[in-house]
Amino acid sequence: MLFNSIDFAIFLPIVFIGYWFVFKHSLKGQNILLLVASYVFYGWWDYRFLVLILFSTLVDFWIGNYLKKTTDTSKRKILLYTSVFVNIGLLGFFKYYNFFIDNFTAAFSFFGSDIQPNTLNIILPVGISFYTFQTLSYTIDVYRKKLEPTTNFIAFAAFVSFFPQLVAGPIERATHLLPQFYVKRKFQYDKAVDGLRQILWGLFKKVVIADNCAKYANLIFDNYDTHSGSTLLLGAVFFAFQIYGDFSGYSDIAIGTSRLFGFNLKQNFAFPYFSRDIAEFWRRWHISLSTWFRDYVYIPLGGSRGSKWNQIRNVFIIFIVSGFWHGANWTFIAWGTLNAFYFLPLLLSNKNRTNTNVVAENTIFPSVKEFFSMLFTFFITVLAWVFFRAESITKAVDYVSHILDVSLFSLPKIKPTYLILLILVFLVIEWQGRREQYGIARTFIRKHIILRYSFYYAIIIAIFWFGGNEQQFIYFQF
Amino acid sequence: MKKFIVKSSLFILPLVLCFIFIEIENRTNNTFYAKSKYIEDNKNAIEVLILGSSQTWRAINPEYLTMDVAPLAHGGSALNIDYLLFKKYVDIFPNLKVVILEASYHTFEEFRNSNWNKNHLFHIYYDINNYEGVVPWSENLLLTANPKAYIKKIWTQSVFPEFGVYNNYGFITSTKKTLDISGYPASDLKSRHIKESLENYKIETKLLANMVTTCEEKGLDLILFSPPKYSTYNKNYTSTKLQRRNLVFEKYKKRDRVYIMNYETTYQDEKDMFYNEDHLNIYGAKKLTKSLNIELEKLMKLLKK
Repeated sequence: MLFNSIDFAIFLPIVFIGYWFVFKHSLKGQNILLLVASYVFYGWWDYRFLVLILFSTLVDFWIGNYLKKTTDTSKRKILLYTSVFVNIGLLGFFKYYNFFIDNFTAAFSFFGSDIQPNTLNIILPVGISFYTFQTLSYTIDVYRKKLEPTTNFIAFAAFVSFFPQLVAGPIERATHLLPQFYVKRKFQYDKAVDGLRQILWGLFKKVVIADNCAKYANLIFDNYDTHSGSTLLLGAVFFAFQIYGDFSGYSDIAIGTSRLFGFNLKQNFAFPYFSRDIAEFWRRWHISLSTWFRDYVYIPLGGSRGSKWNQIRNVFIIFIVSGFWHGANWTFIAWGTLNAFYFLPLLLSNKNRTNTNVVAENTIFPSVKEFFSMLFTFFITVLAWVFFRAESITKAVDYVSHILDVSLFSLPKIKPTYLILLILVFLVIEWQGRREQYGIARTFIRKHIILRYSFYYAIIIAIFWFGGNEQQFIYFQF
Repeated sequence: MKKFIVKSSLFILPLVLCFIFIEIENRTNNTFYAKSKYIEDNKNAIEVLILGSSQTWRAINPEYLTMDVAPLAHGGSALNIDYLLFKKYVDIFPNLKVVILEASYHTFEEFRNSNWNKNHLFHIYYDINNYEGVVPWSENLLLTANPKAYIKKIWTQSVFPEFGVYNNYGFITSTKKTLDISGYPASDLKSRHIKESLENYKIETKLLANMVTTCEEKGLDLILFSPPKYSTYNKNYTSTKLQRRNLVFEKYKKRDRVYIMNYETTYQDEKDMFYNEDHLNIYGAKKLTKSLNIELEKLMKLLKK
């Protein structure tokens, strides 16, 4: 089920009413309802893959409890590796099987040995990259004794499949989300209203910004060899806003929906395009994934401790793995590597934690230096997105080299004025809300009720006016 | 909780009222509604069933025909949709004598699948199911099937009252503009119906064969009809695609009850008849329909004998 669908618009109030009215006094009832709703939500897409979620849930629930019973280090390690093997195995099979087979075949052919492997026609289960990481975090934290394993299967199953964030995150940590299933949720008016507001903003980002940018980004990327450098740059900028609107919009809807049910999810995007350097960008982009890799891969590898060489190695590992997580294609690996190269100078000069505060925290406008830092960071990010979007590395390199030729200084042939204006309005709104959790958390017209409601209705009208038919969220494929 | 429910209901109420208004307003104000109403009111008198895409829809204005027709050619339709309409209405019209089926250059290589954005209109107005399995519930209302399109339609109609004016037969009567080929970018002229699909060709010709068989069994005449196109459109034909379509003509022209009426090049230099390269304007439609009427009357006389 898509968040931007009529199905979800019917589904959500039904679950909401059942949750707060029918099962108001029963924590177990509420958890069962959330579990059933989550399975319906997921099964709406393809019910056959519910088996995978259930399997992953059962394995990690069992391993978690077994970890508690045993103190034997080697046994505990075996249990941990089993969980890692099962979850990464599922992910590897469904997402990477054909990639590895194709590349092994190519490698063997290169060395003169012709093999005929069997590739499989595999459908990638929606959200598998997200819920496998979420269940893994549970087992690892139990193994590290940071978390008591749960004996409440319903709560655990509801945590794994929690529908607001099941298919595209934020990837929640068991230590943060699971305990929320143990305690009675109390309806809070302000929290629910805030949730609705965040849903509205998420829909705007997705339907108005992302889907409209997608139209032009696709148009330009699909025929990139016929366009000038300036048009290609515009195409890449459109893609940058497409992916941001799409993914952060999804996260906003997920967080807002969770708030309606009394849950708190972590912020996943913190206005990344207002970052002053690439390190700041990565602290603000897909935070739940970055911190997951930081805590479960980067720090165990040694993190920023040890020799410079080790630090560099760890940075490359983390960025390449993160790139590969996004998809079974060399383009994602190239995208990750490019970001590692962006990051490296900051790491080597110990400037990777320079910009940890909000830009122009106490002023309305940024300083000239901040402005150009943001612009530069945005520009290099846009160039990296070309690799993310392109079908192959060759095409990405071709695209970037076309951007950087003399035609960059010509007027773009495709320039949808309405979309450029929409993006500017969007940026202004995001800028004024950059200190908050999301763009319109505290609207500038908060005190004037008529203006405020007019603003909300304007957003709704824009959603219907500029929205096309339901489009899939990009991050579903990851 | 009570405060939340009341406030959010009050917030949503104006939207719900707007949506109801838009649904009602659109429901009875479109060419599908006009056509379905016309055929419902006249089903016992209908002698000719017209099927095809927008090229046929914009080419035949039933006002100028002397017999009762079911004008079921629609914008974007493909032969598999025409087939569903044919299957449904061939038994509903007791007086049906002739079926006019579009067989243009592009007809046999187009296919509309279950995701086609007009499926809901065929479902709502003709009870045609072109979905895989059960009709999704959202397809029962115009607004839930395609909110953006219907909200925009209300706006467009209020700002441009001449937009989408049609007669009782669902024929658009506001396309008075004549073709100005100089205003077309060269790329546009070359991009109409260029896609080839052997897969669709196989499916659609099979459906045509079924239709021919059914017509023969029921004693109906079938006219394979290709409406007029402007010369620039005809010049851009892909020869292999045209050959495949012509094979269909070759195959069926020998059949007793099948007639070929190919107007593709008849008016190809008369730009005043065209709205754009492959659609007639109302003047072109008038001229063609009158000419077609003569042919149909001849055919009807033959049938009576």
